[in-house]
Amino acid sequence: MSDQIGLWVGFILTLMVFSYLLVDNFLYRLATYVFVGLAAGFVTIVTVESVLLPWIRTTLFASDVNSKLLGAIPMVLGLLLLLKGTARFNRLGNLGLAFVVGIGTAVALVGAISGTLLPLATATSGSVAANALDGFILVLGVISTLVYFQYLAQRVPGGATRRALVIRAIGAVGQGFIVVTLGALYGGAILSGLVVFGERIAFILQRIGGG
Amino acid sequence: MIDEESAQPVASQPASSGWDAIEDPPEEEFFSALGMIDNKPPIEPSAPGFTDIDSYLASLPFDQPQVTPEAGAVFDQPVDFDLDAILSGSEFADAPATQRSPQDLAPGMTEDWLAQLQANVEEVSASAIVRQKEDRPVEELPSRLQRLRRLSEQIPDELPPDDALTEVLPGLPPTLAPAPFVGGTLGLVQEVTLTPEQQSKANLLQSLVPTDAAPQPFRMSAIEATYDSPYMSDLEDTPETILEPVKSKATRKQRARRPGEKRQRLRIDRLLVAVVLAAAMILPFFIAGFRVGNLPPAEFAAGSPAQIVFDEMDSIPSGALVLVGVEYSPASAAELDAMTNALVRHIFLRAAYPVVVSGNPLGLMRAANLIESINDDADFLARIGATEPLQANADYFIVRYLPGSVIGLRAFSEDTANLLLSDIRGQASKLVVRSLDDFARVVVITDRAEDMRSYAEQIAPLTDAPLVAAVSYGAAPLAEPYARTHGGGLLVGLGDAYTYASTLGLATINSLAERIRIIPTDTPAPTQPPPATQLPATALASATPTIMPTPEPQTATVVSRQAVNMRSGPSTDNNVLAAVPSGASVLVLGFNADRSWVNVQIEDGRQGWISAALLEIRESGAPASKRNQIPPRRQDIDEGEDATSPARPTRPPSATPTASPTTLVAETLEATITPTRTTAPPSTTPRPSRTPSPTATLEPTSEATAEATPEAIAPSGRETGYRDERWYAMNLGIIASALIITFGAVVNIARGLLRRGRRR
Repeated sequence: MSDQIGLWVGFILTLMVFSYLLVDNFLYRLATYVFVGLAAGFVTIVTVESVLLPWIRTTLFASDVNSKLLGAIPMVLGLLLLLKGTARFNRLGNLGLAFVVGIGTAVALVGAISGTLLPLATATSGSVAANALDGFILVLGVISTLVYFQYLAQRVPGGATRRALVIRAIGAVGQGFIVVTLGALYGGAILSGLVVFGERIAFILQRIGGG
Repeated sequence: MIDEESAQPVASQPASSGWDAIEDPPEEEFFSALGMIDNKPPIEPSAPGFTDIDSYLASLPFDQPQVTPEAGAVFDQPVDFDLDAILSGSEFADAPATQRSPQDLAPGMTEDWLAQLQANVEEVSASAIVRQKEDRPVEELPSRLQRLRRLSEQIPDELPPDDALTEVLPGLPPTLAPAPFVGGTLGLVQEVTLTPEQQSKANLLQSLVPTDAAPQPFRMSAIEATYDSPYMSDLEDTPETILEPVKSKATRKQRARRPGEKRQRLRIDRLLVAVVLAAAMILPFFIAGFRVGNLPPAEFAAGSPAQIVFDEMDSIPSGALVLVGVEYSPASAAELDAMTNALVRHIFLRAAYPVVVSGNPLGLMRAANLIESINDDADFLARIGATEPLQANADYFIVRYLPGSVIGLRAFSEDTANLLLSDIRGQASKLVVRSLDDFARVVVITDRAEDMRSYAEQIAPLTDAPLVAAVSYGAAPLAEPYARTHGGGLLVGLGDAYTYASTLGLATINSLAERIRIIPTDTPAPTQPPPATQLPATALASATPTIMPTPEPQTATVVSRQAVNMRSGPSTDNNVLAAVPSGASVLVLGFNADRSWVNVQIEDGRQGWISAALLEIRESGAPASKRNQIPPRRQDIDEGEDATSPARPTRPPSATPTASPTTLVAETLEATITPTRTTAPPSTTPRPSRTPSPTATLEPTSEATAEATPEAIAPSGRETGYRDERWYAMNLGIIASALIITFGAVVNIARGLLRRGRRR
């Protein structure tokens, strides 16, 4: 019974969202607010139950002092972050924010080197050795794209800037690669949208006709 | 009036008060210097301690009868009071313009703050610095500025009084022009009466200049007011549109509406596009003629990234842990739920344990619901030999929400053991994991390429487990390099999910029915186009009357010195489906009439025909029950173990039932194809043998079809029906989208050409 109620609620909410095709209206906004509100509530519950409480249990409520200290430090920094919302003590939150930004940058940088740059460079060199044509296209795409994104130019007496013909030609090739990439992304996004749309149509038809 | 106001405070001071002790000459000199008072003698109150204001006013030496009636005549009349007309009168025009500097004031009259301000104005302020600069000679100016100067000299000093200002600064005159002033009855408590035009300008000023007044329910910002201005009603400004603002009811109603709440007009073009697209995608659900294109293939191409995924998943050791990152939002659930369903079921089929984590709590919720829905599939439970419904923290683990994106993943990779101690509800998971190396595979299912990159950067470098990826169509282009780099393969979109499920035998019952119909039966022909793996007509014709099912499950070994071809039919005229290496074991499904060809199923689940001369057929031994591969149940864990002890070995035991390839193939195929032969526990509710057995597949009868038909309605798990129709709808939607985009491009090009022609 509860499943049926949920399915019919989903059916109604789906129609409310689809009403946006006609015009931006109250029903569409109500449905989006419901989704956002439910998602926010669920995220809060999961964060508290799955992250905060286990962390507190294993650190602050631990028997040894070291665990308590290890748990207290991030807890204090987290509380300081809450002060960012106040006008008087918001500067205190910068300390916690500095940790978040600094550590996040360091983690991303290390990960990018070990997980993206080196493996992709290795794979690129490997593909060059495995298939000459694929390797040539790959190298050409990488180099030309990098050249396209360089903005060094020579300033002429009139004040304008001018890049060398070779650089402009290679940049044009790189622009072509970028266009192809963006086209692939755009096509993929359309495909994903059509899949989701088709699933919703199937859901509606199944609700109406029981198919 | 000035004299009166300036005299009153002086006159109102009681003679006996301390005010008499204050020396007033500086003030008198100040006002005298300003010309505000004449040299009349100071007004003396008639009585030193007066208490009646009327008698005091009557004693003043003003000629009240000459003043009061005129003032009343002015302010009592409800006519426009034009201050400019008054100020332009002869008495003001004839008055000499007096320009006094603070130095003209008497010594000591300048306040300190005024002196400081004066210093700022003369020395420090930017305007003072600019004034102190002397103009450069014209000859020293650059040629460009010299030309500008010559042009400026051509501009007349005085603009024509009429519309010249409008041409130079369009829109400014009506803004700056003084609004007619409506006077009311003069009084101390009466507010100024404003015309609607004045009120609108006051509102505009209030929106431009923030004040500390009480917050109003809504106050437009300067930008909003600008955009909402009637002067912006037409972007192509013309003097008419500027000087004559639109004052329709709609405009006034639009002004009062909040930004973002503006009533949008019904865009006919947008509605038309939506209708066309929706119609294109709905039609395949009802009309078979609109089901264009072919269904996804039932098998992956050899060597493809998707086949690599299947191989990686199909080689998961029994009892191993598989880390599954469900990193997609509900918006992509329609596309990726099928993928998650197939991958998780494959993990269960391998008697392994999925451990689900996510940086998106909603992804965890979807994974939990999806795995729980597997419990509704009794067939699948029987297929994996589960005697009880799958239980969280025993058969699968929905363990961790990883907040912080990259930081969360890094923390998980560094502190895996501690972060897996509790599940999504905060309960103890009883999962003992030392590091990422305890996972046999890492599977990431996502709709964002960023998640793929994060797993490749933060998880993959710290473990030897292959990184298996399943992404949406939108994320595929950027995820593919990572998948290729880490070698775990890549599944993309609904099509690969469809093929994966078909390969695994997890397709919806619709597809299973299709697989049954691959073999010709007496049943009516299917209305849908046959799948790509349908056998050719010639092969079917030769195979149909002569297929002889094997009475007992048999296995065979390829005895050729080299790989042999598995064909789609019992003839060398049929297509080659796969190359089976020498020594490989296959499951015998049946024979043709003269037993010269054997219908077999190879290890990856594909079926075909191999010449009998190339196989050594033998009766399989007593197949090991799938129960041997069942993950330890929760009660098994609890028996003799406390909650703090390791729930089970974190590594698959070495004595897994993979002693020999032959046994593995036999067991795998046994578990995959003939679930009805598994040792059914006594507690298991008897269920109809709906899953087609090899016998049923090869020798379909009307009963088998009749059994399969009801399953065509029943969805597998919570997956909605219309699976094939969804695929056809996507195909037709692609065509419709391409047509719409092309049509829009053509229309835009045509409009551009027409505009260019008009300009010429």
